[in-house]
Amino acid sequence: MEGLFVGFTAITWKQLLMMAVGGVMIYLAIKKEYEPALLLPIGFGTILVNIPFSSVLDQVEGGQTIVGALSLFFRAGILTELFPLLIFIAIGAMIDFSPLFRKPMLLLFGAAAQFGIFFTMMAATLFGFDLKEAAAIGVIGSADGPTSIYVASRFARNLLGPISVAAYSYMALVPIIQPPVIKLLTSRRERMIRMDGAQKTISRTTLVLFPILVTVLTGMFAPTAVALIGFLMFGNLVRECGVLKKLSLAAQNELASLVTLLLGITIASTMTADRFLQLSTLFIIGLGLAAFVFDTAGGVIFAKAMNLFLKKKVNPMIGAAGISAFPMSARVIHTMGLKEDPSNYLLMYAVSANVSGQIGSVLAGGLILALVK
Amino acid sequence: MSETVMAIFRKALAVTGKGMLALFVFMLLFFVLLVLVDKIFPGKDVENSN
Repeated sequence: MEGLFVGFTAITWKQLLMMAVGGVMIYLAIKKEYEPALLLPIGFGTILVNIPFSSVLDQVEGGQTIVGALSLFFRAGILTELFPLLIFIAIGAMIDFSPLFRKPMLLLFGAAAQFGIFFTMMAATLFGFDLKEAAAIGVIGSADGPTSIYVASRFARNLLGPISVAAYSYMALVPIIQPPVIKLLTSRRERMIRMDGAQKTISRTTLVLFPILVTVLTGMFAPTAVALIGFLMFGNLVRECGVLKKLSLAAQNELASLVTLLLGITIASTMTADRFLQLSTLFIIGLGLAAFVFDTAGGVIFAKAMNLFLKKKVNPMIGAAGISAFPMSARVIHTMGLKEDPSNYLLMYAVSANVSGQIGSVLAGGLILALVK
Repeated sequence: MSETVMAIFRKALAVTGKGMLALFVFMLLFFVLLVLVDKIFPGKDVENSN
């Protein structure tokens, strides 16, 4: 009979607090629709792993280890980097690179808007994190959950929980984070700049060759980035080849849904009270916000700098869309443009910059892996 | 700030310099790639498959 109450007698206030954190995540996912596909599984998983002696985690009984399902998923899917890579196939299959061909110059914004990653990495070192941990925290600024998880699983497994939660939470908060930063850095006149570009058709050969060439080119310079960029581009090749329509749709739908589900609940296995309730978690949450702010600032300031040399000015807000949060960031920029001038349609350009941000964020993750020793 | 923290910060600064430079170089390469591939295989009728 005693065994029945073991949960009640063993539970600590920290575990109860973590269950409440899980509850808040579920609330945000359902009520506010903040990244529900991730926050709901993470939230529920957080409750699961904070129940004393939970069988979803490895438990030792009589000297024998009883394997827990989430611990097993963690070892098989996160430590091997399998889940994030599978997600990249799905994301690749969802990306349409053709807007980039219409305005290739916008690719540069995909680089500039990764500044937050590096700024945050530097800031994190000042808070006492070692270089690898700081780099993993910085990658929250990639605005790309799988990249954050991938880098954190290599560099800072102990921080995987808070990094994932921060990454996905701030991605959902892009419509709140970006507008004030953009307004602070631009004048109304700049926000009203119109952009023009010709509509043109892109050949299938071009769309098929692009992912292959990008993979080879990146791989030759930064082999450590091959897994990240390669899986993303593989997914895109499946989409664009035109002969794997079923597989492309499966990658975009079933694969994405299934792996997202597993990824979320598996990440939750790191959300135990003893790991999560630490001062470092607060720092990570704060630094994650800084990463998104400085990404946005990096993109806007770069666009303003470009305007010093360009005859046809670029709307500097487009620079902010160079982050990877797709299509949320593009929508934010488009809406801001419409507010200043209801006849100024920036969506196409913002989408181009946003797509380049998706390449940039994965590339930045790969470069971090290559450069941080 | 302790000397250790500053040493790590300096390393992070170096990674930032190299990382941002490499990002721009890669994006410039992709830019050239995009323009070249589009020039060699100009669009005809298909815009996108899916």
